[in-house]
Amino acid sequence: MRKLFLILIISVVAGKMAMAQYKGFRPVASLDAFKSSFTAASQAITSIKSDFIQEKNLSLLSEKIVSRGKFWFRRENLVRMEYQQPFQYLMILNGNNVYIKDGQQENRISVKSNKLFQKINKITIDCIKGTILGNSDFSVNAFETQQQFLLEMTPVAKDLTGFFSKILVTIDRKDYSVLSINMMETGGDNTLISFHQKELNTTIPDAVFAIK
Amino acid sequence: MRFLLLSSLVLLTGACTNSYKTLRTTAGDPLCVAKFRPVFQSQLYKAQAVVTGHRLSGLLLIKSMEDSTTRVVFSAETGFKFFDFSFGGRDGFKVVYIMKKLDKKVVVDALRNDFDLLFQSWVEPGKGMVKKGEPGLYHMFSKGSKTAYYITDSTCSKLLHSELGSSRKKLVEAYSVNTNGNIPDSMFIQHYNFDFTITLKKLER
Repeated sequence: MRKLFLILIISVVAGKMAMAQYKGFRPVASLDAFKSSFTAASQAITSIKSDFIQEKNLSLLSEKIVSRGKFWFRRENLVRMEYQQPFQYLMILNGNNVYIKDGQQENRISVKSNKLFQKINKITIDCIKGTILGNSDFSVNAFETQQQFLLEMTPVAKDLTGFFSKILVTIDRKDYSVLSINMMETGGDNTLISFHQKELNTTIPDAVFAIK
Repeated sequence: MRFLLLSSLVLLTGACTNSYKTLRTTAGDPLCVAKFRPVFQSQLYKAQAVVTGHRLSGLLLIKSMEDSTTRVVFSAETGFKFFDFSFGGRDGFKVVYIMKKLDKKVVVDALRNDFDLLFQSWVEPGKGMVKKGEPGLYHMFSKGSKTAYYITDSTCSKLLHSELGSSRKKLVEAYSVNTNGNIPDSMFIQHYNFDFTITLKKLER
């Protein structure tokens, strides 16, 4: 009985702390139920076309590096990220292959040859596909408001703990699409990618993801 | 066989060439190069580094801090941080952060020397001398076994390029192009003791 009381107290305190940490958010009632509805709803998203804004916050330097571009996703695992301002940089993830165009320089990599790249690649795709809750590299907590869900992902895989303290993913409640991905680093810096002008389930031609 | 012998001889001669042998001491103020010292507020550069054939690209932020240090932060275009160095101030050079894969003495020392050369960290009163050579005046500042050379025209009105060398060999060459006062628009650094180049181009934010 005393044990049960203690667990109850800890749960209430933990819940209150989480609510304080993410203003306006409360823990989802059932993580399992959320997981099923999130996965099912995400399945309905076959493609995304969107603008994105990336903000790199260097906390100790009080400095923000902002870049903008276009983003495309097509199920199962095709991603194109095209940075357009203040520099030109193109990255295409096509299955296990990555194509990078940086100015006039072109580079092709197989993610199989780089385990860390493979993991980071998987985070992006899992977030968008709705399968991030099944990614064993993270322990996940979920929170909600009337409009959004928030996934708090804490890395458990050793090679990721050195880079991220947490990854926060906000999801639009109305269509379960990703609103933002916030990668928090261990030193206090973070990179926030937010998606705007989203178009879901439009036809995106193969050429967008073609690796030449 | 004869070709191999000849190639070896050429290589050997090249390796033994003293880059600074022909320099002759001349009168002049070594500190005249201080006017070319770059002044950074908070500048963002697109960076490309090539190390032994491997290409690494990203964004390099150079920012002057209130405590008189200069911070140099290099991250990938996607936000992933590679290193964060602090130069100057009370503590001198400090590694604030470096990713595990890059955390090697040879890498840190090479990068530190490169930025010290660009920032003119070694240019201090009473420590320099001037020599004459081709293509102009060599303003020299030594520290330990290394010397920073700032090469100007014959009247010290234009900085042509900078070099870091030992007493005999050129180790690093650095060029910067300024069109707006002392804020470099682009910089290029070439290492001669191993295959390592850095190209920086200023981004408008």
